[in-house]
Amino acid sequence: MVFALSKWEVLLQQGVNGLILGSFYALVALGYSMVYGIIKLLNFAHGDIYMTGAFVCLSVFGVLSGVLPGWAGIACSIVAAMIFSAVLGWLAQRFAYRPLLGAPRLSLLITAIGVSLVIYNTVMAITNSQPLFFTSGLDNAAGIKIGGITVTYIQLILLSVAACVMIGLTLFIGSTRTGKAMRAIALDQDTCRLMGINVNKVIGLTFLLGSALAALAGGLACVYYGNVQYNMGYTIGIKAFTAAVIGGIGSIPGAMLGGLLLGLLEAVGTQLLDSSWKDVFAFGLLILILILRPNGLLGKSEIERM
Amino acid sequence: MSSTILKVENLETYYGKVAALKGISLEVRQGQVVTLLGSNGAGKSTALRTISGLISPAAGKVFFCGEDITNLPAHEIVKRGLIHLPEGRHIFKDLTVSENLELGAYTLKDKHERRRRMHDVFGRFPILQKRRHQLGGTLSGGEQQMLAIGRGLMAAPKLLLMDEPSMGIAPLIVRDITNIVRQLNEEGTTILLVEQNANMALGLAGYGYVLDTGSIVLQGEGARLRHDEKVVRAYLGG
Repeated sequence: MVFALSKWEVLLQQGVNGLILGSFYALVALGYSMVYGIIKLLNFAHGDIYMTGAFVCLSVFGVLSGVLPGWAGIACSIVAAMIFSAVLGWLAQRFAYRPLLGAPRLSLLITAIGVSLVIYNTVMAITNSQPLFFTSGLDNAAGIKIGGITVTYIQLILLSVAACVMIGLTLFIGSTRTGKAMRAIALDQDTCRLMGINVNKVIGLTFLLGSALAALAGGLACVYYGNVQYNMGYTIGIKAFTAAVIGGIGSIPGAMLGGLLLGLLEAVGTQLLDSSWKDVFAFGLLILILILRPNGLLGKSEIERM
Repeated sequence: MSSTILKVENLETYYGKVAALKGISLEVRQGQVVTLLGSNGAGKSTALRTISGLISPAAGKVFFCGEDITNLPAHEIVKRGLIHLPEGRHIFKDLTVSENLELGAYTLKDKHERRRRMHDVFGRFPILQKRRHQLGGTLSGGEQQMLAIGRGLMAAPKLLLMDEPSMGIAPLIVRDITNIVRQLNEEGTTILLVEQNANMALGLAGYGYVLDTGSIVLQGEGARLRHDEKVVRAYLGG
């Protein structure tokens, strides 16, 4: 039916694809940005946390398949993936990063690369470097037609879950006591201690949250793309990191905006040029954005009032 | 005589191998204003940071209300009512005035009590109420100092450690700050005041200690220190 679509409809269809891709980027970028905001660490293991989430989702779904098929099984598997990855992220924070918080930044960065390689190689060994395939038994092509474009149910669910999570996170950071403590720690840790805030506990919570979001993205990706591989976290890790920087690293709405923008640019790039040129197109534009706004779209400039 | 609220015994603190505090002892009694004087680098801020748990001492003890708090983490010490207002105010500049105040009562779970205390702070500093939706970083120096004090009051302190509240404040506003400190004390808050502005500090304090390169070199009643020849020469510009 592709021949029946007008140019605009094709572009709209790509827009939907871009939003999906962008939602994955945004969910992963949030964890990058939150962790960077609070302890100024580029957590290179974050992409591997995403990958772990996809694996746990696939494995749990396999175990549940006889008992809980379909959407219920998928939902449970994703929740299990989020819990597992949240704990994994917290453990990395507790035993690898926390002891080095007072050390030079570079040591912390190398530790993050180390954690990344440990997770990556563990999963590679367990799976013998083979991709695993996910079959939900649901009709992936089923969906609704709006005008000339088709949006599948999986896409709809994915977009609504991502939207709800992002709204929830924004409310949490913006108005709860713990959310305020997170923002305050990003600004001034010692003063937070003097307010009675258990800084280590809140940092741990940030890792729990960020890792759970990455695993949510991983689980959704597993369901959406239908396959999982040990190296799937690498590219998305770099892209999510890029998205966080474009949005203004440390900024929660920035990570969401940067992720969605990058997804859309890639989709449009695929449409206008060719899929092999999509990264050239997207990253070319991103470099341009950074030249114009070095602190990212929603990042704060470092000019301070005395 | 009133009871001792803070007792510091032979406190020693190091930055690497450099001794910043070489065994200081001091005491603050319930209801007093006690001042810790000294020039830049004498160790005044280090003393407060060690007492409030931001730095661990190498030796010595700190007792608060009779309890040994020497090795407690800072956030645990806050829960006991010992509140430290750090040098340079340290307002959270990207958070609003109300958010800054709310964080001051972080350890308090009771929402109504939190709201009541914020109401009290607004009563004391009406300018903060006017600016409550503004970001902390947009306030003037004097307003930021009021916010820092208000944020401390949100924790309902038994003892307030104040580190140079007059620093970087216009002279006219210093008088306001002095009055605020006096008023707080009259309302029952015990205060340990660190100052370079000895004139201001000795006008307020019933008792004072003089710190010099990590050791206490002089102590006595505020009025006596005010007329002590060495103090006058070194800190009062005599």
